[in-house]
Amino acid sequence: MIGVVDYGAGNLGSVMNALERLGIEARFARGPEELSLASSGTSHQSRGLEETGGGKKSGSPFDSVIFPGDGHFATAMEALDKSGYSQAIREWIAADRPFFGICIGLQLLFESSEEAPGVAGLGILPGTVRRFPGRKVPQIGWNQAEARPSSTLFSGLPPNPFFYFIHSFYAAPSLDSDVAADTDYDFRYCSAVERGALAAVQFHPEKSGQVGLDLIKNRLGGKHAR
Amino acid sequence: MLAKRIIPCLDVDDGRVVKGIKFKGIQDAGDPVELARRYNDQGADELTFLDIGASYKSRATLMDVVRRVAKEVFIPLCVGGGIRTVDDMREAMNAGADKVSVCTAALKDPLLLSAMAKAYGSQCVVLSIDAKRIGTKPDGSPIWHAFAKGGREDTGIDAIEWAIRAEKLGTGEILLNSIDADGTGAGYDLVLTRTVLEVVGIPVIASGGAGTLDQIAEAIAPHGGNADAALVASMLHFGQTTIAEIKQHAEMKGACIRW
Repeated sequence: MIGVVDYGAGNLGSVMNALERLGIEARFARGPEELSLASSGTSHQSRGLEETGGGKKSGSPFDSVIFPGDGHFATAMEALDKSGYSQAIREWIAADRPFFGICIGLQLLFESSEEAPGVAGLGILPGTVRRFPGRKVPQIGWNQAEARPSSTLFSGLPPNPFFYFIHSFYAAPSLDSDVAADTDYDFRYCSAVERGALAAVQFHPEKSGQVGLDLIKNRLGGKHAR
Repeated sequence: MLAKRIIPCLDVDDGRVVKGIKFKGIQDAGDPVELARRYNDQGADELTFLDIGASYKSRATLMDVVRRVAKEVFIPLCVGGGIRTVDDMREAMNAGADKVSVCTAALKDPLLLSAMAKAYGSQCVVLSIDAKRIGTKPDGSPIWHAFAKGGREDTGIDAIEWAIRAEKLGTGEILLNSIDADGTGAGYDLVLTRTVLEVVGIPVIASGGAGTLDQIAEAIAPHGGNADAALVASMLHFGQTTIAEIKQHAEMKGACIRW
């Protein structure tokens, strides 16, 4: 079962439509407690390594979490902090549980954003989110993702596939090893990240035709799906 | 590199595509869902639905169409026609639209653009400008006015200044329709396209006047109109051409195309 994080901003219908089309069982998470790795009724401290280390099921009903959506960096972080999702997502990712972020779901993984100076992001990946310089902003339309050889997210897809992008800010990871794909919008920037079971994309695979559906399937039907 | 988009536009009245269609293999040529599927299979980069019925019932039917299309076509969907409030926008977004286009309502109340951008983000707000040449400046360059109510009413507002103002108010994209060229098949008004492109920093979709493959290619080619996208209606609906054929042609003219 895939858990979809809905923090109250953005239209998530298209993600649900795409998952339904792929026959992937998914539902909205009812709250951050559903991401808790502890067996119900026990604290995080009491969780043994065997519960998460071998990919064994934890207290959460979800095998994998998707964090999609558009929205403002500050509004999204405020909603995540208030609801308790921030901490739950940090712990989920720290335990190397499968996590897939889309659009703002990629940007929030970083430390901060020029969209909201002074607001701390989830800080899971080192780096910042910056506004596109010059050029037309937002970038709207189909652009290519050039996958890094180390990436598994794009495996099996045609080379340099086009995806649908719609954004004004882009992530600049501090660690090159976190970058899974680059995109050219007058300059090269990071359009996908990958680290262990964590992956996130700046584009919208749920709006990118068949190749987008293939990427989602790749991720959720691949080795990280359980 | 960012690709130039080819966007089929479906004019829908009470749940039926209005312009005549002569596709082979389509059982019900007036069914917008079936047509959306067809264009998606052909490689459309996006789909625009315009409700021209202008009745409550017609719009409710269109929302149902959008809902059905969104379940099986996974490319961006834009919905316009009769969107007057943020609530109207919400209805369209909930049905599965990724963006909405407004024209007359924004001319009446420009702050609607800001309210929409605040609710969903600029990327979901498309301003449709119906522009018509009404004269020339002393230097010989044309003057365009923005028209309301489907091109029937001259608002007296300068179309170029309207584009500049709309961007500041939070518009994410401009759908630029030339009333002079629309339906003539004589080609897009590229002077208009280029003039707007020079003054705004948001994407501009050229619309109105496509009659040949060359004209569509010219509208988006870097050395031609250089629009970010071209809206195509009749040429596709009448079965004169296909998306693939349009794209092949545009690529030959130097436009970056998504395959």
